[in-house]
Amino acid sequence: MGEEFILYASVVGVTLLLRDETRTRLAERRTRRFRDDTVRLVGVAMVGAGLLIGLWLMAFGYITPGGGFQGGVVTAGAIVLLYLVGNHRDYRPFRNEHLLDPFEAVGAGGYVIVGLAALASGTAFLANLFGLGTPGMLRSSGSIAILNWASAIAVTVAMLLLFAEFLETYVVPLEPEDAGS
Amino acid sequence: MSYLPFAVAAWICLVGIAGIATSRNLIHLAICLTVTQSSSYVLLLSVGYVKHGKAPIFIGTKLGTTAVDPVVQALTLTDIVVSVVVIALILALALDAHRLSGTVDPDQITDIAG
Amino acid sequence: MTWIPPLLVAIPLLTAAVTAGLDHVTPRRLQDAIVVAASAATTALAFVLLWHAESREVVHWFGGWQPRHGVALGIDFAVGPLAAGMCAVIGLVVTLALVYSLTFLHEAARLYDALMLVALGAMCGFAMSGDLFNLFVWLELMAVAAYALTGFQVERLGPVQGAVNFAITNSLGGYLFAIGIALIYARTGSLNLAQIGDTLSHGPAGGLVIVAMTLLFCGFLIKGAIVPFHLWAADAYAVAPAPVCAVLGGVMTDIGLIGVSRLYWTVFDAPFGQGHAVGDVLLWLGMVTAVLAGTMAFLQRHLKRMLAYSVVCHIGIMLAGIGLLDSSGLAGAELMFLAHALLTAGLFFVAGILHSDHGLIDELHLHGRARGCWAPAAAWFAATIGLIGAPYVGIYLGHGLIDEGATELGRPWVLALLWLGSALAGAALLRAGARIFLGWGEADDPLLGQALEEDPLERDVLRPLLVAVALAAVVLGVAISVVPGLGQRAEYAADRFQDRSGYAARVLRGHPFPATPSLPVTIRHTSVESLLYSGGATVLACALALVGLYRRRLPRFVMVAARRTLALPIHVLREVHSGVVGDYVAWVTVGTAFVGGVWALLLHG
Repeated sequence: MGEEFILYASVVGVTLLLRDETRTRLAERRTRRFRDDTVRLVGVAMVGAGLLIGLWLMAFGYITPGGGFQGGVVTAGAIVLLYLVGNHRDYRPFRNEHLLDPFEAVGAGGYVIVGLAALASGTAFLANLFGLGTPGMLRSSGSIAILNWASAIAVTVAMLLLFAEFLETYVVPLEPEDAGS
Repeated sequence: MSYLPFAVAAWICLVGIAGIATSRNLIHLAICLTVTQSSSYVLLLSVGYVKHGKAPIFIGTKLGTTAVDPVVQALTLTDIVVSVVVIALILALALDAHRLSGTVDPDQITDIAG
Repeated sequence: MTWIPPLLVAIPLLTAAVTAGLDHVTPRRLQDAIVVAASAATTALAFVLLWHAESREVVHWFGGWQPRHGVALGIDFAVGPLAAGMCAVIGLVVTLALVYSLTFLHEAARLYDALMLVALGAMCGFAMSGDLFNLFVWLELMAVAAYALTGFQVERLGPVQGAVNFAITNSLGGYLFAIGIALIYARTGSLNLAQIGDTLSHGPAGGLVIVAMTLLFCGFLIKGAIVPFHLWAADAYAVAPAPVCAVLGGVMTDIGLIGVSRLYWTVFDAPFGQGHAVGDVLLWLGMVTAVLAGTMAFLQRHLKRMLAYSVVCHIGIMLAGIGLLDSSGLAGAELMFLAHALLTAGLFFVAGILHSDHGLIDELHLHGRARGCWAPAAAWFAATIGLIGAPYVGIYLGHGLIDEGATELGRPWVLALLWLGSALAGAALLRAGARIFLGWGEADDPLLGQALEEDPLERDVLRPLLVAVALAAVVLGVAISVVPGLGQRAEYAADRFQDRSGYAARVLRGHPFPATPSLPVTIRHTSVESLLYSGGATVLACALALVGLYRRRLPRFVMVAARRTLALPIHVLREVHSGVVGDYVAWVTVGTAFVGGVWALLLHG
């Protein structure tokens, strides 16, 4: 839980440090769509593969090596790859902080709420609340499954938010031939 | 018992610290900090290693099989998260420094001293 | 009552996540109210916990993983009265800072509040944790929040520099700590503090444990800004906004010392407790820090930087108290922490008021400008007298207990040095107060170096609220020495904190707690020597302040002699505090190697 909040605090911190209230009123930045078709094809394939692997790591995090953090980083990496091989319009939903912030809160806060729910039910903080199930199956390990998904969501969104913050500081002049793209 | 992993960890740590102390670029400095941090990963993992131990996945294995220590692996993962986070903050600060003063050389950014 | 410890961490963290996530949905005043309420609730719970912890050790095992056959399986929060008291003070200072910030800071309010709450939760977690790696996690969490908060004013280069120096030095400290954890885990196979202590108490401790101890302690000492690891502190405090400085300087830096004490008395007391080697090094580091930081404070003109050195000076005194390894010393450090946290917070709040009133934070530029501002002046002078430790004001009781501990151990010279450090830092603050609020002294003083760049932002603030918060902090801090019964309870808490085998028995084996002796509710007496030293320090501070103000009016021969002897040391000190992070890291390495070398020599064989 502490680890989760370290990531959360860093996202909030980077947002704080890279905030620049005057700059947000500048015109929307444009990025050029990557020209080389081969690169784009391979890139798009990698995005798909990366997403799948990331989701698999997240989902099976409590059964095999993997887990919320690893899966989250791979998924976020796959989404960021979109930025490289696509253009700003493809990537825009993932830069929308208003959309991403609540997910971050859900991920980070979810961990604490699961813990508090355990506390409220009379046992210790973060004690198991649900049945343990059979080892090796997806529906097992009780609360850890929920915590796993909470941390996975929090990490993915945190990475995307970090990248979005860094992107905001990078201004690329608009090229004439891209005015239509 | 092999001393190599511990020697490697010590070397990485010292090299990283030397890099930080002599760095002239904040981004290079952030990377040196990561290098120093990675010495602790090497150390942790070598502490947890058990000769001929299997990976610590216990489904379908008999009781009594030696396995490497999973605790240190969890510690290393947390360490990596911390390192990522600090890098993000230092890079954000480097961006700010460049924006305000045009340089990322820590020797030049001495507004406050004495 | 074991459900309280996790709440002290869960409430601030959850509120931080929720308010920042729902930023765009809820109205601003409601969010402000929720944030302050969360912080106040945490403080209130900490006080409740303090009341309960007096009669038992409140132990909470996370996830319900109770220890089996005396072996710890999970992570625990083990709270005695000392830890609970720390949480209460931390909560109090953060709540005051949040109320202050309601009107002091106007932009990025939600992000700021989220980071402050995260810092609060992390500090409480750190104070309560009984697991070595858990300590590391909370340490890093509060550090990350602090780095970002320090760099809050991103429009200027100073904050960026301060935040960079802070981030790099403290991260390095954290990594050294992590390496120490790896070594201890290698040696004992456990991360639970009570368990490690138990394991190390059987058999001799090898060189590995000494190296691990060096790394673990140096990691905390970097956080705690002890010489030679203190160089980041002045840079960071000079640029952080005033309420952030109040939290950083008042409680977060002191927490490094709580870590040192906890580690020592649960883990390293077992193998190394027979001699005084470990404590002696800490004692000397503390004394050198007190005197050096006091001197540096005197050489500053930037108010917040001066306060930073004052903080470092008092932390040195507290570390010296801890290094005495005696229950009076620890109790003294505890009481000093209580008073120091509140008084330093109050001083930073007043500095913030001056900054917002006049747009200046330089002592010489503010010369005479605040004449007639009675409330901030009263707060400033009262807090300064409290920090010097005039008889029965502020840190006096704590300092007096440290003096007792030192005398009992047959080291009366410790008292002189510690009071000297306190007088030096106090002299600097008195001089600044006299210059600013009374208009005394000359308008220029080259001894104080070049002016740092000012941040002329005029803010639209609700001044009465700022003044009220500052006064509240100062009044509480000044009164610490005269709260009936506090001294005895602090000593009792220190005794319990130092009882390693009792702690291990209660945490690992669930032994019940023996009956608490009933403690008197009177003001604790201190020795005559403390009274004399304290009076002497106050007089010395006033005298030094006057020298600082009217230096040019001293006879010529005095000035020439002083210049001949002091010019070089002052120049060297200034050069060392260079503002370049590479130098700081070099000092950290040298310091760690030195401390480790001394301990290896003294403890091995």
